[in-house]
Amino acid sequence: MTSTAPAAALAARAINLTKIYGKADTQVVALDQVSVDFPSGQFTAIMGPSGSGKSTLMHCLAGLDRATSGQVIIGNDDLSGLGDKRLTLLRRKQVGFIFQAYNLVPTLNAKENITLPMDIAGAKVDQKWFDTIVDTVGIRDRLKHKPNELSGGQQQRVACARAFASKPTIVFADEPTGNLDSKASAAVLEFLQQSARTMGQTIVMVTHDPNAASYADHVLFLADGRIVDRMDRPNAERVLERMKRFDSFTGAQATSLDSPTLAADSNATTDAKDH
Amino acid sequence: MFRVMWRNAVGHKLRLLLTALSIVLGVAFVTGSFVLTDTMKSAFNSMVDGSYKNVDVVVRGTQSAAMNQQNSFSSRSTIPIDLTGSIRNIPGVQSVSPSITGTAILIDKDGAAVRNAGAPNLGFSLESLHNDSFVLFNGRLPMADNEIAVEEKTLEKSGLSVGSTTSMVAGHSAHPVTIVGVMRYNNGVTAGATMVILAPSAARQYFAPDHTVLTIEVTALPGTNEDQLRDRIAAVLPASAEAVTGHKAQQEDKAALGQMFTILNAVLLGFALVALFVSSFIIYNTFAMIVAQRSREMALLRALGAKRTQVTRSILGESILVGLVGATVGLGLGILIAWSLKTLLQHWGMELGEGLPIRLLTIMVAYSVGVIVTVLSALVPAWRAGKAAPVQAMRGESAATARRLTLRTVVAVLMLGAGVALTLGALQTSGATKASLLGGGIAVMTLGTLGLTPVLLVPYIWLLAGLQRKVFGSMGKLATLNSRRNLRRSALTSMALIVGVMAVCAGGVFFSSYKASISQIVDDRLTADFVLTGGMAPVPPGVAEAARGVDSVAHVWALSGTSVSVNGKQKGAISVSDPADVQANLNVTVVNGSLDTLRQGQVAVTDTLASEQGWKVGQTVNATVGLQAKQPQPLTIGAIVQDDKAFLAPFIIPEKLYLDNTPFIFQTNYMILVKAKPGSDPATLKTDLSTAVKPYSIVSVDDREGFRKSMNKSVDTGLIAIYALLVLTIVIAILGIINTMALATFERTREIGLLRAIGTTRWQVRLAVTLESIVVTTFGALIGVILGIMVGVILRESVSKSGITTLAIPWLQIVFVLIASVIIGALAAVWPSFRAGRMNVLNAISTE
Repeated sequence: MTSTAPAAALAARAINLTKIYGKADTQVVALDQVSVDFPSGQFTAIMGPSGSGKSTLMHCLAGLDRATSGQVIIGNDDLSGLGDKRLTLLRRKQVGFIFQAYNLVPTLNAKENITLPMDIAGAKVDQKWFDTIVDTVGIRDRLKHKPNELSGGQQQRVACARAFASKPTIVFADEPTGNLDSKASAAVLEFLQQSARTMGQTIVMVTHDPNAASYADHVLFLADGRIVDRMDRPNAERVLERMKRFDSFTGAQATSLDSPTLAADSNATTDAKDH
Repeated sequence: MFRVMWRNAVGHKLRLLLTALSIVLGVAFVTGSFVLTDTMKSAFNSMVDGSYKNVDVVVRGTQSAAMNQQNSFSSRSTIPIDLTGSIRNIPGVQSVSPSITGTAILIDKDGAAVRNAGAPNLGFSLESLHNDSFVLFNGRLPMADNEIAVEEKTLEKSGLSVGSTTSMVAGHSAHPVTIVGVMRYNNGVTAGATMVILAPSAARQYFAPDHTVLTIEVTALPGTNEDQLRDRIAAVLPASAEAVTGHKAQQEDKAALGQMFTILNAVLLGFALVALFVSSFIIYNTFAMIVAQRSREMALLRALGAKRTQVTRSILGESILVGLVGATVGLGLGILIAWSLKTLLQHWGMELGEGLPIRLLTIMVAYSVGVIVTVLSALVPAWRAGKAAPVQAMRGESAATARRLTLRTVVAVLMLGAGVALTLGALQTSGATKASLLGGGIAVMTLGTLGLTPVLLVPYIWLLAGLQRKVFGSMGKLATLNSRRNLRRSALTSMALIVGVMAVCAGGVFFSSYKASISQIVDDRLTADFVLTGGMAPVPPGVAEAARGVDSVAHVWALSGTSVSVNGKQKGAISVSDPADVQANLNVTVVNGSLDTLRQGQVAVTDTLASEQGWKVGQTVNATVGLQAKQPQPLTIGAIVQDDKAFLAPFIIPEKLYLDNTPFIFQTNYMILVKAKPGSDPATLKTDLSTAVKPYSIVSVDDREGFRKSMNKSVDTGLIAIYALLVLTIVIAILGIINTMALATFERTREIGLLRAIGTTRWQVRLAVTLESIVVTTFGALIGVILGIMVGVILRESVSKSGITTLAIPWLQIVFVLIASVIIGALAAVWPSFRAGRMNVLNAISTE
């Protein structure tokens, strides 16, 4: 990535990131000296079998978890050594989140959920930007609705709008389509892809769905806490091919891969070929 | 299923403990009151036993038919001491002793009275010590008139010793005495009474100058049958006296004591009941939340084949466990409280003997109350848990769907209306009907309001939302939204506080009005310059004599209280030595006739009584004066005066009539009003009066302002009980809020995790939790204040005809309660908010 765009600014980077859980004989190395750069305006997918460390990597990058050693830099800020308060403020300003379970505040309506990060910070809402986001995700007619009055796809679009509303340096998406049907998944993924391309939003998405990964600009493959491969301009078949190779190496782990999604979503797969 | 229940209970020790705590307090109160009253009862019973040792027959005055509703000594006439002569010659009698006793107050080394609040100060004649309940263990017995022996605890308290000279108030006046001996009574168990033993001649002089006594005690020769001896003695007695066996008299005394302690126990249990009532909300809330949180687990159990009743039973099983734990801890705590109070009372001089009587009944009551209240409170949530449909709950939907409040609201409004109607109706009635209607009305009104709380919360939160949003931004908004999330739960959480605050405000309004009325009456009616009172104790007639002897004193009105019965109806009466003393000290409006007629032995009545009975000036009524069995006598009404509902009684009678109809030892004053000669210096007069009454020690000399203050002070003591209740309910309320907030934050783990992820700081999360808690507590306080003022106004209105004429609302106190509720809310949220802030973001997000 860095080689293809040496001049591009970096939204985030990890340097020799190591995360070890447990102690002594029960020790598990979740991340093993991972170094990776995320250039601005790129949509990166992180893939890997269960237990490969992809969630840990995301959590460390987002300032939600602390690495055992190594550095994380978001924008111009070095996360290592920051206290909880500074980390929180950094997340508030520079990081956006999209979760598998949407995680909307049930008492707030869609509009209030979207502006929540600004409300928490006590910042003014940029009305023009808000309108742009709302129209892009297509939930203008649902703004007054409470989360429980929205479909899963609508809720996730609200969550996307919330992640983008504060113009963060980087947005992390954790299995954003895990709970959605194929149509809703496609809508969300297209939105993510478009926002990277047209608005220059940096996005990092953790997924184990090859189809979802095919929307990204790049795919990083993680296994046993290391980055083992990367793929530029991916498509679903190639990603699936690559993932299958994990199967032959790590047998049991592969069974937890969500391959049926791919099989059921042949339409989405065909669409994804173009990207 | 038992294993599932057990694992759940044990797996959430903290939650179990918090829920149990609310039960602990209620049970502790119940246990404490039982153990304490049992302790006091056993001490008093042992005193009764001691005084009837070796007493086989008791001779006493007969009781008048009209007075038989009250079995006290003062309702019996006295009997001549001379009766001892004829009794002594009856076969089977070993010894006869007239019980020559009365009030005797020892003055300590600093000149203050030796006494324990509320306990009697007794003086005994040496000739009345017919048994070995008194043991001399130092010095010698009193022989001369100025010699006394003192009970050891009394002596200890006085700081005096054998050989000390001091003074003693006995009978009607004060006397100089020398202490010659120390005696021990009943193994030291005196229950706080002070005791002095006098030489026979002195005792007769002070307690029985009229040669009459209340009882004569007879000891039988060994082998003599009690009943037969009683009959033989009865045969020689005049109609005004009767003989009973020692056992019977002992039982009567114990029954009277028992009644007293039953009342004390009932009052304490009333408090405990309020505490338990309030606790039940908390238990209900906790179980409702536990059921909601575990709905998936319940559904899983149901899917695995558990029957609906099994699920219900597992929740009920958990509630029984909570009840058992709460009752056990509460029992222990209650015993500890009783023990502490006993130690405190003994420290103050109320000797209660060894040990704490813990009856099986106490333990049984503690456990049944603890378990029954818990299980009843958990019944509805448990039943709802069983109802959870397997499929619905498996989807992970919270079972706590908002049910409609319509029916509840309608019922609550109806109850509120019925309550108001009942209380308003009660105000039109009188007597026992009024009290029960009023109590019922207030209870129904309170329940109605409690039922309405979820609906009332909506506008309250709406009003508060703007303020919260403005001051605290997004966290304020989240807090208001969260408090609205489950209206029933928020309302239930506030109920404990509503009840407590209601009690304190109702009491506050009532007692403030009482105080204001006293001030009003003192200002409007009292024209005396000084008021002499004995605090709670009666004032010996010698004090009035001493006051009359002071220079520049113009009028002394020594008030004695008695009763006058007409046609079996007993009415209060006060005595007057001379009508001029009345007019000088009190602003009395004579409606008809003249007070001067009292000089001719006529009586005055208030206009209230006159109109009630249809009496006119000049009319003669047949009446019994005093409490003792007397023949009715004709009384002529010489004046009708305006009732002031404070100083005056229905009957105002000449002092002679009072003295003629009251046995010597019962002759006392309860208040002495003193009017100075015109132009005399108040400061000098106060000093002179104080010097004159100094030997009496128990008497305080107050000017008008001082009198007002001391009256207010006695009202304030009444408030202490209400504050104790408030503290108890507030503690329970805090426990409830802690529990609810902790469970609520647990429920919202994911939400809090999200908020933290997108940049909410720990302190912002804590602020939101704290603000939510404050919404609940201020709401509780506000509703409690409104309800309390209403109840206070109603209570005042109900007694407005008996002297509490002014309505006063203690606004300052009410503002204080409201401010305190904010602090309570913040305090209760300390732990839950801290936990919420510390929640691990990663765990919070990944929680399913």
